[in-house]
Amino acid sequence: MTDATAATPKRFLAERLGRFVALNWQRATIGIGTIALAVAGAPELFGRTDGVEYSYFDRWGWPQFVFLGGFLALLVGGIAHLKIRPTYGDLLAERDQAVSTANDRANALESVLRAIITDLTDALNLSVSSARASVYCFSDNGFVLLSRVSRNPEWKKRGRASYPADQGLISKAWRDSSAVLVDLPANRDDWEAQLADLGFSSEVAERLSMQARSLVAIRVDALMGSEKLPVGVLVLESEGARGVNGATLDRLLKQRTWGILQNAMANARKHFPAVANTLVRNPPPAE
Amino acid sequence: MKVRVSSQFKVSGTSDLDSQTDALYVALIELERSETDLTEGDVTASLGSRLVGISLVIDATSWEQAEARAREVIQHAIVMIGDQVLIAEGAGVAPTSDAPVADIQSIELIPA
Repeated sequence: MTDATAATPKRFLAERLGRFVALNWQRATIGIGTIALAVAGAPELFGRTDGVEYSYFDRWGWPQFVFLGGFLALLVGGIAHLKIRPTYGDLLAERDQAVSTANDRANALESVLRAIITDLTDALNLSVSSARASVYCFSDNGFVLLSRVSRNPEWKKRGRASYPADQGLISKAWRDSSAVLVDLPANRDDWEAQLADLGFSSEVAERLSMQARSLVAIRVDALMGSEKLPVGVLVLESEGARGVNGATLDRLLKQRTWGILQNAMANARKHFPAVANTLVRNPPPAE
Repeated sequence: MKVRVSSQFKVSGTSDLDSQTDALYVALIELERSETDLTEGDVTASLGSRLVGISLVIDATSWEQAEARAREVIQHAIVMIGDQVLIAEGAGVAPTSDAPVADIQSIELIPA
């Protein structure tokens, strides 16, 4: 009896083999032809001991048939290789173009979101060197930074390529829709101990450059009729113990720009997996 | 709206943190009984690191109000311990007297 689990790998292998043959038969034919010519020529080079000179085709044996077969294979494979379109070069050019387009789209989305959150931070009086705002999308069980603004060039830098779904205030906001954390310690060791409670390992906490002592995180939802589809998280951070706080969240929810950010992210959500992959592989240059 | 508040503070000194934590819990429950906007009060403690955690649910009209109320309740509960504990809100300051200092390490608010 053949069950489905046994048939699936076989079909998978058959498909892979079929695709390989379809893509590589010209090269395989050229290779076989070359080997055949080499094999056919071997007796001519090494096997002749009788000292009699005669044309290669004076007598017909296996070397001559192999030679003819190899020659034909080389001819067919070579012509097919020259005629087939798109060429490998064409495919490489297309791939480069696709990568370039993906980068352009990711950068365009990043710059739109940057403009929106810049406006938002201005409205919330957070355009100061001690604060920053970041917007993340959710992709492949983690968060990928889409855009970040800060007056401080150090805080603006992109850190990790992606952030685990179960770490930090971002994960709480993703689960509960919003979260506020204030009064984190000024003492670095105490601060890192608090981060351990948020799921950060001591190694990761040590490496964090910005010692944010207050944070506000809010989930960005796409409205699908009466349902909300979570698409990302906006995180506001400050070095001040109460630089951002509950009042910041109240003011944020009343901002028109907050609605614009939600709409922009809702409309772009289908592109987030591709954009996230592009941003992880090829982070945009700092502003 | 209901907001779940979780706060941690570090108590300096060598006072009996175990009994202080019990007193804090009783104080929090008393507050919960007398105030209608407070529910689900709880206290935890890590005696080794001298970290005390307070959690409760606050009924508030805004995040700002919830945060302010949380701060007020936490301070009130600490004062109710009756041990003249000083409160240093995240400032990490050194105590200026022999009295123990409850140095607030974090206040977290999420929807309940």
